[in-house]
Amino acid sequence: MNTRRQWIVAACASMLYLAGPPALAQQTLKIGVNLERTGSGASYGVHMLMAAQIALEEINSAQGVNGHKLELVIEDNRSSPEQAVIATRNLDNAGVFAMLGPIQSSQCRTAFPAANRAGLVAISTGSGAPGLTAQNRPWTFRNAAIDQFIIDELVANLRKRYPQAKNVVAVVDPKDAYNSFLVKTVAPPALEKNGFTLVNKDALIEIPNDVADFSVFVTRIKAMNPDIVLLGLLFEQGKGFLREANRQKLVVPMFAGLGYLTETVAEAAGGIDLWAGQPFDPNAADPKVRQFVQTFKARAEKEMPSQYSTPTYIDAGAYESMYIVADALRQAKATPQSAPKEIREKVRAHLAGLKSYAGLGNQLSINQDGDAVKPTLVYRASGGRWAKL
Amino acid sequence: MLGQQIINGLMLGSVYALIGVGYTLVFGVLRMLNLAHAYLFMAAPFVAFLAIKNGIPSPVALIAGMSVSALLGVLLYHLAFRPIPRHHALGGFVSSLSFGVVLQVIVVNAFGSMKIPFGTGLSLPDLELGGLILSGVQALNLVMATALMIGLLVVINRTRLGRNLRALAQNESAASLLGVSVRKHVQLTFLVSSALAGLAGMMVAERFGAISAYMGDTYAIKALAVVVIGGLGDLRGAMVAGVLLGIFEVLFQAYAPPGWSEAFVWLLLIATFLFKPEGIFGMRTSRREV
Repeated sequence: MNTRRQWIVAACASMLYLAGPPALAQQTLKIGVNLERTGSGASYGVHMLMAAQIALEEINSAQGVNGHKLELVIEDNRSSPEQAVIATRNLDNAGVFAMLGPIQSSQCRTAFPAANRAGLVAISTGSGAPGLTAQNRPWTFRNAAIDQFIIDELVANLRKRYPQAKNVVAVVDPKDAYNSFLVKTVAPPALEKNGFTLVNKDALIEIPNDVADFSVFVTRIKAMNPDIVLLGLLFEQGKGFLREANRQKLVVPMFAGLGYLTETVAEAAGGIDLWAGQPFDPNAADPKVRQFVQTFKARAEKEMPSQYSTPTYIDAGAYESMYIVADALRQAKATPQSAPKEIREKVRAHLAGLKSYAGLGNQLSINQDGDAVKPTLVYRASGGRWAKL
Repeated sequence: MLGQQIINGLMLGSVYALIGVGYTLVFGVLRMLNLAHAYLFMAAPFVAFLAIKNGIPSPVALIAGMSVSALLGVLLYHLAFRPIPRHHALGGFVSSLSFGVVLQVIVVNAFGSMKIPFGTGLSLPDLELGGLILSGVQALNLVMATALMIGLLVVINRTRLGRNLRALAQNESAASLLGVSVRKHVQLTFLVSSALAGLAGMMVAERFGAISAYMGDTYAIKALAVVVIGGLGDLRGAMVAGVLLGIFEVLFQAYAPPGWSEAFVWLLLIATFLFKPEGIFGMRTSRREV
C-alpha cells in the first residue's frame, strides 16, 4: 500500500515538474477581454481580438510593461447580455488589471454594472448607445464613438446631397440595444432638425437578427416609396438587406450607424448610395495608422480569408486601448504580484484623466461620462469601396 | 405589393417544404423525429464551400455536398437511431439532436461562427413578370420540391421499394418476416432524406449568398411545424403545409404588427393539434404511413 501511495505521489510530482514551475504563469500582467467571439456579434469580436493581440505582441516585443509581458485572458460572452455578466465576473475572479469589452451595447448594458460593482475597469471599443458609461461611473469607459455626433454630421451631409429628399423609412433589429437607440433616440432629432420625416416612427419595421430572407421587408419598404432608408441593423444583417434591396431594385440612398465600414458591406451595397460613419480613418496618412492597418490586413487575410480585412473603429479602439492600459500599468508600476484592487484603481484614474492621447490618427480625450471624444468621419460606399466625405 | 409578398411567401415556403419532406420521410418509417436533419441542411453547403475553395467545379461541389449529407444521414442512423430502443420515449429525438450538435460544433471549430460568403457562380437570373420579381434559385427550389414530392409519391405508391417501405412503416416485424430487409430500407430512407436536407441547404446558401453554422436553426424549427400541420408522415401534407406556412408567415410579417408573424406559426400549430391533429392530409398517428 505504502509503495503504491509513493508511486502516486511520485507520478503527481513528475507531472507538476513537467507542467513547469507555477511561478512562470504568474510572470505576466493580465488584461481581460470580454468579447463577442460567437453569436451575432462574432464578426466584430474576432477582429477586435486580433487588433488587441497585435498591440499585445508589439508591446511584449518592446520589453513589455515594467519588465513583464502582458497576457490576455479571454472570455467569450457569446453575444449574450447574460453571458457578458458571467464573463465579467470570471475576469474579476481571474484577477485581471483591466477589461476590454464588451463590444456591443446590448452586452455593455449588463456587463458595465457588473464591472462597476466589481471595481474593474471596463473599456468598450464598439458600444455607441448613449448613456451607458454615464450610468455606470466611475469604472466604465468607451473608446468607441459618440453616436450622436456621427449621426448629426451624417444626416446634415445627407441633406446637402439630397436637398429634395423628405421621407425616411427605418428598419430596426428590435433586440439590439445599439440599433434600437439609433433608430428610436439618436436619429429622429437629427432627421427632424434637417427637415426629414421619419414616416414609420410609430411603426418601425422590425427585422430580428436571425432573419436570412429579407424579401418581405424590402417589398414592404418599396411600397412605402421612401426617399431614404435608415438601417438599424448589425452589419451582417445589413449586408443581407442591401443584397435583397438591390435584387428588388430598391435603389434609394440608405444610411446606417456604426460598424458598417467594412469592404464586405460596400460590396453588398452595389448600386445603393450607402452612408455610414465612424471615428477612424483606415486610409489616414499617419504612419502609426498605416502600420496598424497593414499588419491587421495581412493577418486578417491569412487567418480569416472570407471576412473583412480593413480594421474598423472597433479594432482601432482595441489597439489603442491596449496601449493606453499598458501606459497605465507602467505608471502604476504594476507587477504580477501587485494587488489587483490597487492597480485597477490606478488604471481607472489614468483613463479618467486621459487628455489628448495620440491614438491612431487622432488625439483622444476621455470626457466626464467616460467616453472618448474622437473625430467624426462620414463615409459613402461607391463602387464597392468606402470613400470619406 | 400583395402579389410580390405572395411570391416571397411561396419562395420561403418552398424551402420549408423541401426540409419538411425530408423530416417526413424518416418519420414515416421510424415514427421518430430526426432532429439532426437541420444540421445536415447546414453541413452540406460547408462541404460545397470547401470543395469550391479547393478548385473543384461548382456542379461537382454541389453533388459532393449532397453526397456527404446523404452519407452523414446513414451514419446518423447507425449512431443515433439503430442502437436506441424503439420504446424509449425520447431516444431518437435526443440522440439525433446530440449528433446534430456535435456536427455543428465541428463546423464552428473548422470554419468559425461567423457568416461566410457563399457563391457557386451558377446563380440563376431572377425572373421578372409584370413588376413582380421571382428569385431564380427559389423558383428552382419550388420546382424541385414539387418534382421530388411527386417522384417520391410515385416511388412509394407504385414500386416494390415503396411497397416494402409502406410495409415497414405499418409493421416492422411483419415486414421483416416477409423478407423485407429492415436495415437496408431504413438506411435508404436516411440516405434520401439527408440528401434532400443537403440540397435544401445549398439552395438557401446560394439564394442568400452566405453560410453559417447556425443557418439551419430557424428553418429547422419551422419545418417541424410544417410536418405537424401537414400531417405526420405525409409527403403531400409536408409540401402543401410548407408552402402555405411560408405564404402566411410572409403576409403576417407584411401586414400584422411587428413580431406577430412568429406567434402566428405557433398558434397555427396549436390550432392544428386542437382541431385537426392528423394535419392537412395525415393519418391518425395510430397508423404509420410513409
